[in-house]
Amino acid sequence: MSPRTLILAFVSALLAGCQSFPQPTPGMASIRIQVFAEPKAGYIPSISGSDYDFPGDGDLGKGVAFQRVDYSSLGGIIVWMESSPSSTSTPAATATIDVAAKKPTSGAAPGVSVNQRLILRNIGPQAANFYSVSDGNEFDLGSIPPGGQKDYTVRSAGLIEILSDSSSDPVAEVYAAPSKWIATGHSGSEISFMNLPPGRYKIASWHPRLPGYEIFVTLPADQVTTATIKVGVNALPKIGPR
Amino acid sequence: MQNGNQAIILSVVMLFLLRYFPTTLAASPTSQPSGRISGKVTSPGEVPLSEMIIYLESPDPKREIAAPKDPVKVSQKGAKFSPAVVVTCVGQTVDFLNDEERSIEHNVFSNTFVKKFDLGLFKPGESRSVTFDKPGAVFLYCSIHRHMDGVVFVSPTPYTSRVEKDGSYTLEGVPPGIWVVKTWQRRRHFPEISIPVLSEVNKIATTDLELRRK
Repeated sequence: MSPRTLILAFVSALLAGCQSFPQPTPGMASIRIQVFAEPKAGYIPSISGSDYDFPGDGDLGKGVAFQRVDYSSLGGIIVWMESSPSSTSTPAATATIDVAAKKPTSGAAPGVSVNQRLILRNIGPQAANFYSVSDGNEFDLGSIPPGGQKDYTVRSAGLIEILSDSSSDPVAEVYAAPSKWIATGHSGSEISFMNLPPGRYKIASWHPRLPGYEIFVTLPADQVTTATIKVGVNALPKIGPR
Repeated sequence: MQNGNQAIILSVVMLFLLRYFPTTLAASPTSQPSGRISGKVTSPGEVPLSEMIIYLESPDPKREIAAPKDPVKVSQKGAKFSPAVVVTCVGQTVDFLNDEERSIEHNVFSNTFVKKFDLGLFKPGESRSVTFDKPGAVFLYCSIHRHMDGVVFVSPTPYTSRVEKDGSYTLEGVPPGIWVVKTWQRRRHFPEISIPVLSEVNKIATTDLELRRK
């Protein structure tokens, strides 16, 4: 863990300690999860040179090719809690995704849950088709007029790429988790889930590049439990000396 | 439902072909008598197909298929994987070489279920190797550089072809017998498709593929 991450963790813990966290309703449980992303163990930034010292080949613009991953504020980390069978028995509230033809997605994929109803709202100026060929979530909503919307109920866990045109990049991406208790955070952030049924849970995470992280916790009734998850490459099987 | 029907039709055709044209020869990409499979991929739109691969799979899981012995080389230079799309075969090795001219470390990792690995940090002039033992797409990243990504497509057989921009493809040196022609798109815009085909010695089997949304 880098010194910057450690400082962030310390400050987060300090702030968390200073704030009063609401207690769960009687008979229920809550959890606060600290989220961290960590760079490859053994990585020393000075060896790899400055981000902008090397111009790259121009495809991405000067210096961009060599931009480093900023683990201290890495975003798009999706975290969820699983506890079969209650995780998906009652679907989460409907989620609305704004989409427009030929407007590629930007930013992190939001998290949704299996069995959740997604509303795709066309915010573009023209009618457009919206469809997906992602494994387990194949659908074709047909044409949606400007300002109109259609819905789809998520069937399977995993990344769902929403397309409008077979020659363009996805207009939206969402990540479906097998749980209604799902949230998106960034490195150094805290995610909390309130008023869960007490019991044993798996905390899992997903990131578009990095390996996910899993830990198991037991949530006692009437208490706020704390946990930490660390996202990074260090858990992968290693080939090579370091 | 349509996918289910396609699977049933594919199974019936495969059973028929296997019954009357049994696969008796062990497949090898070398100098055995062979045929050629070629065709054109079409789709409803003007889709750039340069990052699409056509490959063969054997319907007989016991069929022995030798992987090429030479490793595939992937360079890391300018904070890019080159080539960014690599086609290899189950059992084949890929050598990753840090080709930077300046003192820049790289890392290669994949979190894909087909092959999870972390090659560690390596300096210019150093290389690391990975042997791929399962078919599928393996997405590559560098843990240091945020824009560095690539993919190794691991084919179940050495019979592969990139799809040209005009949609054409050619599979050379295909041993005689029954095969399944399959598609793989780096950025999937259509469901992948599978079509059975019979390869015959010194003949060209034409197999056109039409990509559809559903």
